[in-house]
Amino acid sequence: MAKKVSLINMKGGVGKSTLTVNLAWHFAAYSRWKKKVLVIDLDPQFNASQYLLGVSQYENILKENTPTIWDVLEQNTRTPSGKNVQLDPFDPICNVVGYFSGGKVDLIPSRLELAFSLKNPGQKERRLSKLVEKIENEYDLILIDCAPTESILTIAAYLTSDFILVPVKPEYLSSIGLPLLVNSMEDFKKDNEDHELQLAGVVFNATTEYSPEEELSKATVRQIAERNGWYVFKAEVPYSRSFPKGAREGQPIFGTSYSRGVQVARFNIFAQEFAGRIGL
Amino acid sequence: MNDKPEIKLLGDLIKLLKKYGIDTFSLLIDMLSTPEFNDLLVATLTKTIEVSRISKAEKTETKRTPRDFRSSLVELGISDPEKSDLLLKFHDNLMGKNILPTLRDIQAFVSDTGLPSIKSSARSKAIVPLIKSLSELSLDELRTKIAIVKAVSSQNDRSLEGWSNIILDKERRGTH
Repeated sequence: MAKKVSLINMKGGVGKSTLTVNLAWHFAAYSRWKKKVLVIDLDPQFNASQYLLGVSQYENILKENTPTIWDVLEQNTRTPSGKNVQLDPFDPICNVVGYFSGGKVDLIPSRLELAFSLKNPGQKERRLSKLVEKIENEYDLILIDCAPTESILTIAAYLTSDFILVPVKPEYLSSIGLPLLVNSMEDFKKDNEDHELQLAGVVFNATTEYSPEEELSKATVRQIAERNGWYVFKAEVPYSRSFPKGAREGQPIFGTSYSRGVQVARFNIFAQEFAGRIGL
Repeated sequence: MNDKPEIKLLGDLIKLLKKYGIDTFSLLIDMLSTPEFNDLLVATLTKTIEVSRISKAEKTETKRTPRDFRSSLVELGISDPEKSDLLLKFHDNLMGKNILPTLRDIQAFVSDTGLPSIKSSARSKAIVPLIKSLSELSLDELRTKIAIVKAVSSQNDRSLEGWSNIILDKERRGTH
């Protein structure tokens, strides 16, 4: 059974998609892990899909009407013509990369139209968890890249996940996203007492280690985390030019020419700690 | 100042004389005058010249290697046409940087496919050992390993223009 982890923060631009994609690649590519990883892009901005697929492959998905996360949430929706579409659970999954060692990265892509699902949310939030129940035995790790706003997509992510990973960029506005997430999780737990959802931890992402402002934000985040009994990862993911370059080239950071040993090593240390937290 | 080389040599000899002392120079004169040392000196110089000649020849051979190596892949076609064809395509795509465009990509491919590691410090020098490793595989193994290599995506495939066209495609958005 796969470990299912949602990467979530109520603030945009903290590096959720980049972290999701690089964690997926890390666990699939390195021969000491060889994991089968599924990335679920649950954000209408579809950044994880852009990063993993590139224009042509994504365009083919649209042209060939390959189901996406939108179709997962919209299945069984009654239409004026009476259609009641039931998806094969493997239909929306596309393979991104497979390694000789056995590791692979698959993706359930997102699309802009996912935003329309939010306008008509009725009873859609359980459809993702039901689909994942049917496919999770095929994977070791399922990473869900979430949208930065509270909606049925957030509830769908919570219902599907065993763990939440919270990337926080140590800056003022990004830190405000954390109390919003505290509220969101508390509301969810009240309504879903039977669902066990654990916090894998809060990770400081895109750190630079120089700014006093950054230290102040880290201290605030640590206070909030301590008050709520949340784990803060010892390892941090420092900012690297390899991240934007990797996104442009469709490469993990360890595959870009900008990546320096120390930055890749620090990412590896975080990945190791993360794996320990979720029991991978 | 006199710029004549013989005067410079004299200046250097005076410096060496000062450094080693007159007694050391006298001992050297005695040693140089013995026939044994003369033979030793001739043998050493001959060996040095020979080593230098071989080294130059090896360098020339290395420079010729890529073309010769490709010819050897073409020759393989006589006994194993399918393998030769696969290896030639792979070789030419590597040379054109259509696949595995960096040394890191080559090393990752070698690691992922379980081939012997390549210790070259430059991509161009890693190509021949990589193809040699692949040529030792059976045809089925070769096909399997080559299959995981993806062609380098063109820059346009990740262009902002490409994404803008997808996002702003009103006709498609109207279908949902």
